[in-house]
Amino acid sequence: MTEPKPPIARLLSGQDQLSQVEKEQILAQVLVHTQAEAPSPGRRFGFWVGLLAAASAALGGLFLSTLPPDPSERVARGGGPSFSVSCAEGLPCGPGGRLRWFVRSTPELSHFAAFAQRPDGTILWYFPQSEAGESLDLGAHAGAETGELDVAIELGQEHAPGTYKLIGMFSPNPRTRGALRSAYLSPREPGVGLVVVESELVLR
Amino acid sequence: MPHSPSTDDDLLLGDRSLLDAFRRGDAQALTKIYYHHVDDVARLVRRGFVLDAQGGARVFGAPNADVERELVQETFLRAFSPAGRRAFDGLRPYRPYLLRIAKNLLIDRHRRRRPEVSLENWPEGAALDAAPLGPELEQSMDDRKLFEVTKVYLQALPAEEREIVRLRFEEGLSQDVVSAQLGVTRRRVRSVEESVQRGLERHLSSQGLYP
Repeated sequence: MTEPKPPIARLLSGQDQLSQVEKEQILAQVLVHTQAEAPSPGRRFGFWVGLLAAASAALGGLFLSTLPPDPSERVARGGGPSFSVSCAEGLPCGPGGRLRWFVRSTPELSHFAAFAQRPDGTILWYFPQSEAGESLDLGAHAGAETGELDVAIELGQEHAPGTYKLIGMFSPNPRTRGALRSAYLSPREPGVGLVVVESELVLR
Repeated sequence: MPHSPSTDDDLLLGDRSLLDAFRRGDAQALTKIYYHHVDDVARLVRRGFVLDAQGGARVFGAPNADVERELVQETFLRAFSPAGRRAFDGLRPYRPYLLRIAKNLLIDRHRRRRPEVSLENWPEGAALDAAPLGPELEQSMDDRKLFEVTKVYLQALPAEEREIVRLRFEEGLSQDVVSAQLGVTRRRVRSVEESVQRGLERHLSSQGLYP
């Protein structure tokens, strides 16, 4: 029987011990599983109505709106798509920092969108990156091993310290922000083809 | 900056907000704790350990890199699960708690397989009092050859790629820090990192050295 060989990352590090790349891969797996165990949000009509009403408040690449905090219902957790974020090493976890994304999904739910709700209710859109843009194709943007997106978010002054709600939306096809809102708000078929997952981010 | 292990075991004890964030399962807190302890966990998993109470009976470490990664990952999955976070009382240092999970995983693995030392009479809590780690296993001849061929392969790479590999793999810097240091985009760092790994794998395979 052939003995397993050291991973390529270890050969490149010159040492037969856990390399930085392996550590990152393990952490990504751990975070994805840990975050998948966190509760997800249910439909948030008030939340989204407020978001639509504030649609004109777009600012730069981020879409900002002021919304009342909404402690609405939560739905069951599960082993479906999930995501987590991590502040880039060596940079502040706040303004001046960079937010890395680790996303796992199923082949069917191949596209990912995300935004944050600040403690004051303000919404910050991450993906799509513009009102006309579309959600990310995970096949093209997520690393095969870690699920890390090749797009990181630069954290500016709009990311004041505090605890943010992160909302990730998985869909089978690319969608604009408008389409995502509509799909979520549709009273007949709420969120058809759309899976919403919530996480949390603490900025300091 | 690369994360490095610290002798400070009280990361969670000295920072109430970190402990609260840890208990919530906050990704930032988990990341900080993970990097604080991952080298210690990996070292234990690699080397195994000796049980004091059993006259030096040894639990061997992971036999290869695949098992090592699997056990390190499983250790943190358990420790960071909701039940694992609840089980940590926040009153004692976290490191022994984490290492106990790793030790128990090693013992479980031996119990599932043909034991290399008898585990029949070991009490359940024995791993709690385990002695310091044993020596690392020596690298095999085949592995040494792999490292040598890799070194030669890297010398033939363009300077920028070689530097990216050095900083990422030898120095253990994050992609962000490497991109800032070299003045290249993070995407470039990632692209080089992936292409060099693929290239090396192909090179080793072509010489019949890699599966």
